[in-house]
Formats: sequence, C-alpha cells, structure tokens
Amino acid sequence: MEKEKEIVKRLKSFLGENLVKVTIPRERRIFSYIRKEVLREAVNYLVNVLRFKHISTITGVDLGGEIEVIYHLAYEGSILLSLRFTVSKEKPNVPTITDIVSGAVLYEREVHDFLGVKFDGHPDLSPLMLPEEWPQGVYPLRKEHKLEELKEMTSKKVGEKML
Amino acid sequence: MNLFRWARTKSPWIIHFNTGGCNGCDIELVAALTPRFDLERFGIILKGSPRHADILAVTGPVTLQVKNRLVRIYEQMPEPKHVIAIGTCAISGAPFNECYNVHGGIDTVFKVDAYVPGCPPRPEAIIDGMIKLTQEIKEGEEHGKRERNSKETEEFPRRESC
Repeated sequence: MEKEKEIVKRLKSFLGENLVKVTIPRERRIFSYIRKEVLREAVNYLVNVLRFKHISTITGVDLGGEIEVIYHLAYEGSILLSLRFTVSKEKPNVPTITDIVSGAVLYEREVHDFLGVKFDGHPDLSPLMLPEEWPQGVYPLRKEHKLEELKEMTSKKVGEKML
Repeated sequence: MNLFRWARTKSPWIIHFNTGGCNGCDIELVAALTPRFDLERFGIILKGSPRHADILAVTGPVTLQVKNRLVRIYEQMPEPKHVIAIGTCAISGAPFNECYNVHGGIDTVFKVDAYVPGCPPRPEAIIDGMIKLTQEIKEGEEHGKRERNSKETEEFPRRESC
C-alpha cells in the first residue's frame, strides 16, 4: 500500500482542491474524483510524471442528469487508477487528451458514439461503432429512451436506408 | 445429374463470415473443419475469398453495422450460391434479437438454405447441416436459376462506402 499512498499524496499536492475525493479501496486500485477543468493537467501529470503510461480505456455512465466519464489509467507497477468526473447532459463538452495520449483517440470516439460526450479538439469524431446511417443526436447508452423507442427511432430507419 | 452439379456436390468450398457473434460458433466451425472432425473429407474446404466459395457459412446475429458488408460478400460469390446459418444467433438473432443495433437473423437479409441450431452447435451438428446442404445441392432445384437470387441482387445495390 506504500506506493498507492505515495501516488495519492503526490496527486493531492499537485491538484490541490481540484481533487474532490480520492480513495484506495484495496491494493493496486485507486479511485479519484476530479473537477473537469483540470482534466488535461491531471492526465498530463499522471502520464508523464507519475508514470501511468498506459490508458486502458475510457468509459461513461449515465447518472440521470449528468454523465460520468471515467479514464482508466494503468501504472507500470500494475496499479489501476480511475480518473472520474461528471459533465452535464446539456453541455457535455470535455477537452480531448489525444495530444497527450494518442491511444485515447478510439476510446474518445467510442464514448462520443454511445453517450454523446463531445471531446473538444478531437481530430475526428465520426461514428466508430455505430453504422454510418445512424441518426445524429441519438445516443444508445443514454437512459432517456426506452429500448422500444430507441429501436423505433434507429434500427428501422437505418435498416430501410441501408438497403 | 449433370457433371457440374456432381462436381459441386463433391467439393463445395465455403467462406466463413461472422456477423457479430461471440466467436463460439466460429471455434466450433473451425473444430469441424480440422482433422479431428474432418469436414474436409467431404471436399468441403474453407476459402479466404467469397469469389472462390459456393457456400456462405454465417455465424452471429446480423448487426446494423455489418449488414452491408454481409450483402457485399454475398454478392461477390458466383452463382450458384448457398447460405448456411450456424448457431442460434444466425438463425433468429436469439438473445440479441430485440437489441437496438441488431437487424435479426440471416434470413432477414437473404434466403438461407440450411440452419444449424445450437449455442454453439456441436461440430457433429455442423457436419450434419453441411451434408444435408450438399444433399440439397445434389437433389434440389437448380439454385443458380432461381428467380430469388437475381431479384435479391437487384434489391441490394452496390454501395460506395463499404
């Protein structure tokens, strides 16, 4: 646990009050909640100073009124750190980290596809997983629509267009 | 039975395409083809190109994303061509049938000649399905001259993007 505590200490001193909450639920696992504004600095610090060289994936969760975006970073000593923050559904803009970690390009596109989080500065946010004919502004993993409505809106329309 | 039909019955080459399945059926199909179950003793050989294949072996439910690609592969196959749906997903979409991103089973896209149920089907079941399909090739009506094929090709116009 020494290493985890050391990482948390350094992250705290770097981010200050922008680090809302941080926990170590068990060995080799760190959860950290940050403010959206410091995302780029935090990722830059974690990747280039604290040696979290690998970004496993980026995921999103619909919490109802807002969307939580989670960056899963892996330390070279197999510690996993989740960097979490929320954005509102009305204005889901998040700065991109593709210039810091180029491997994040596909993950950001995936989150954009499914939850409609806009990554400002991303080179290309065209659909990655969804078909090309998918209607704009419909995000399948948001919980606003029931499955039937979603199917009504998309698959039939897409199915017709595609043939 | 004319010579061409006899030749097709003795060496139906297959092209395998996964339209969005979990890979379980693919592994069973590979097991059926390789020496332990040895589907190749019937002259059935897995080919890499649809242009060389007589049978399209499809596994998995047809997703919206893959549908055009599936049609394109089907179009590239020379007539007469046959389709075999391997696994429950390929037959009806199974658990994924009502999903927002799934179109349905293979027969929602074009006509299927043989169905092999199972999740995943045993290699023996796949062999059985293949043999029944070759029987169909041997004794059934001449597929290449069926009206449905030419009609279907008209309904699926070529697309630039895929």
